[in-house]
Amino acid sequence: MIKVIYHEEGILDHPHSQAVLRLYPKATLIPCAHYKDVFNPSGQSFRLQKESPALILARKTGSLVHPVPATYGIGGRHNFYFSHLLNCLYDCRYCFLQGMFPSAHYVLFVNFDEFKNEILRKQKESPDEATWFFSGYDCDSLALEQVTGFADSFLPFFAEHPNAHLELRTKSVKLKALEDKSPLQNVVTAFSFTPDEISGQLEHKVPSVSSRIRAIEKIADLGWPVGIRIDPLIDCKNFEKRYRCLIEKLFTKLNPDFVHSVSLGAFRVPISYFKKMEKLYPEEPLFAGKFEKRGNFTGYRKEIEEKRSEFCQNELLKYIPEEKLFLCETTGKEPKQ
Amino acid sequence: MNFVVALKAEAGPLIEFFKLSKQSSEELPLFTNDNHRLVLSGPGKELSAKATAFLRNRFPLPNQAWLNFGLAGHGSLPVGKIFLANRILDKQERAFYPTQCLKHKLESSALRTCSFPLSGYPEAIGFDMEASAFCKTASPFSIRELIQVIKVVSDNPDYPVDTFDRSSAGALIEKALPSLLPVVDQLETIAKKIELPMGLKEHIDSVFSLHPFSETQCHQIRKLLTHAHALGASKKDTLQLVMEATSEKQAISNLSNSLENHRILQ
Repeated sequence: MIKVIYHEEGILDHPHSQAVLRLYPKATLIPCAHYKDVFNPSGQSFRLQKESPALILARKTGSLVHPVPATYGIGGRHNFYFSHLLNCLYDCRYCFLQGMFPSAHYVLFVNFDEFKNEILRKQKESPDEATWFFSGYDCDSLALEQVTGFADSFLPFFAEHPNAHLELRTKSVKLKALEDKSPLQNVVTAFSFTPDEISGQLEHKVPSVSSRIRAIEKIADLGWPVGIRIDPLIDCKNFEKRYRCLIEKLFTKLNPDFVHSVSLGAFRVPISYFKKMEKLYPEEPLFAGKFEKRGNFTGYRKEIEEKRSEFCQNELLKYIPEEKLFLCETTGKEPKQ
Repeated sequence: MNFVVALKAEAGPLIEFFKLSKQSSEELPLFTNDNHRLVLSGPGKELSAKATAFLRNRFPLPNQAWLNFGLAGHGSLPVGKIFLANRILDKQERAFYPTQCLKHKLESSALRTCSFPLSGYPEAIGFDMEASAFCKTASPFSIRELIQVIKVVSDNPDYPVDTFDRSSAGALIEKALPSLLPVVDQLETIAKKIELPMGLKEHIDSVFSLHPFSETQCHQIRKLLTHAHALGASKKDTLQLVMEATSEKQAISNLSNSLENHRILQ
């Protein structure tokens, strides 16, 4: 429930803004010159704001579509990400957004058409090859669909441009936007998972693992390509038993032939983000794990990371061919210098 | 909880309600009880900034709640209406947006801080002479969620400021108090939420007292004890480990070794 909506001056006339205002007619409207005036100031408590985030309606300017880190991808040669939304409905304790953003408010960039134009420009740079666009980097792609109308707006666009490929990254089980449309082979809906026991401890406000599995099964049955993201890998008691069980559960329900890709991601966060995250939640056992600093990142000690990743790779390869398995080496992009 | 209020007439009902005692020999008029502190700043930005800084220096505690409370003009709200400022504007400063995290039934309004009293009400927002300086001065001392401005409308286009009877100030504030107090309670609750987990700070202090730790060692100990707490280790055991150590270095090593096998999520 959104109680406060900040808006850049002039943005309320935009049709997307109007649709949002219709959803929340009682929200307090507060104008601002630029979304960063509200979102960026230091000294905000991400943790407190997360209890009841405000929504900021804004127009994204400057560069709208960015190249992804070299180690992040699911098989394509040309990979970009874009963020129509900053921040997430869910509250996962391992999420790098809480270390990256000064505020937990949602920022919705309503100028979807400008994103689409930029996506087209990037796609036309390699017109005969698939170009991938990742939409769930700074948010969950679908969790706030009711507010953003993102999938509703972008799926018809991607339907018209089959060489442009979209990854929707989500933990949401509300997938009406997909269910109502004909499946698109250039749109992969990728669901993130940790085992039940970890999800219960760390993924606050997130639908249960079993309901996510039901959701992925449902849209796969409808013909949508689906992806599985076991990301980030969390070191825990009974790691092997828990992750084996998760992988087994997934592939008991899902026909591996319908799975577009599976990726494994280590828990690695830029050092400055990790410091902020552990300061926000000093009582959180996750942050007392066996971590070390490597380069600009904090992650599990190398031997743990390698062992855990190798175990999961072997388990996954029991169900899927190697070409469907991708290793993502980073969680969270490096801070801008 | 820190209150910065311009005039005695505005502060009177708060001083009375919280049974605040005037502190003698202070640089500025200061009223306190165990949990609340109120400073009278006098009117205007400069005095408000000075009083806010004074209160912080006098009670240098991090992340306390700060409230600027008092009377203000308003372009549209009726006299006596209490409102929470949702953005503080000032021609000389960047706009300040206090985080709207309080559950309340107050009006929500923008507030413009002016350097001089205005002759009219050019916008349907509040007008005062202190809030922007208060926010700017308080913000390095606390998180934005805990810096709030609440005003009671004393004048508006129907009852302009030159007709305002100063002797009615106390009555206006007193009438608004029942609406203000739940917000004060909430601010105090929020301030408690962001403190270190229950008893951890005291535990860390008692460990520090056992050895002459250097700054760097204190930092290491603080981190280890926080991890120990997160992992559910008993305070008694961690204290024992530090007591048994014959040096600061050994204390750190004892703590670190004892945690090693527990550093895994359940």
